[in-house]
Amino acid sequence: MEESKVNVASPVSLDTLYRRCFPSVAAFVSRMNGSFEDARDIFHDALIIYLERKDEVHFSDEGYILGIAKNLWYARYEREVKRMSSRLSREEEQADPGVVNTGRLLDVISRSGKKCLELLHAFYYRKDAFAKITSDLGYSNEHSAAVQKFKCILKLRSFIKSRSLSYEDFID
Amino acid sequence: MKTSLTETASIEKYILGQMEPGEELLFQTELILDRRLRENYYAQKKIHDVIKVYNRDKLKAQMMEVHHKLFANTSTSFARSILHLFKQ
Repeated sequence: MEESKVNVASPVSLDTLYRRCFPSVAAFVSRMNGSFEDARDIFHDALIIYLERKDEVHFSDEGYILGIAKNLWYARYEREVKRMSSRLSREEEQADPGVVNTGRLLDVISRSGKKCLELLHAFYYRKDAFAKITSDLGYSNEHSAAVQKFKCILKLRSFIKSRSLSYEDFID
Repeated sequence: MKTSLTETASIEKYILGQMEPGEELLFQTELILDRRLRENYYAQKKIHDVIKVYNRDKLKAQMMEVHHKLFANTSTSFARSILHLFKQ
């Protein structure tokens, strides 16, 4: 997998990023009196944001990831304070329709349309060419893979529409 | 009425931010006027949201794997330098 093209990092590049960028995030979280697990979680979230945006990032990966980690840390701290003051319950938090809905849909689609999920993930996130998708997912040729991508979108779209009671269900 | 393929491709182009400004404006107008197109757009946007969550789940699993590998042996210089930060 070519590192410059992918958002799903190969284990090698993740390993490199981990060794290069985790120490500064861990040092920051430690100074903020956070735990080792806090540092790991904040670093993972920051790394995901970096990987999703890395085509637009013009800074060093270490500085960018540390910056995101700091923002995530302060945002989390603010949420904690708000939660304590407003006594926001765990149930209320989980009732966030956008988050729950997408996660639930993913669960259902993972069970009933795993191959479509893999195909669309390879196309949109790994940005694989149809030639690679064809060989990885076992299609007979590139045209067949392209047609399948179209069919997958139609199938999932119709599935999502059939499970939605109103437009509000679509909107995060 | 657009064919399914053309419509799906247009929606995808809009979602991915690949339309020219004029084309985008026209599409936004169509979204307002055409209820069926709007429904399809929301559903197709939802597919992208689902794929995004799927991508994040995969990344998290890969990260945990790397994390466990790097800290399985706590006597390496890398692991020691990090764990040292959290000693009380």
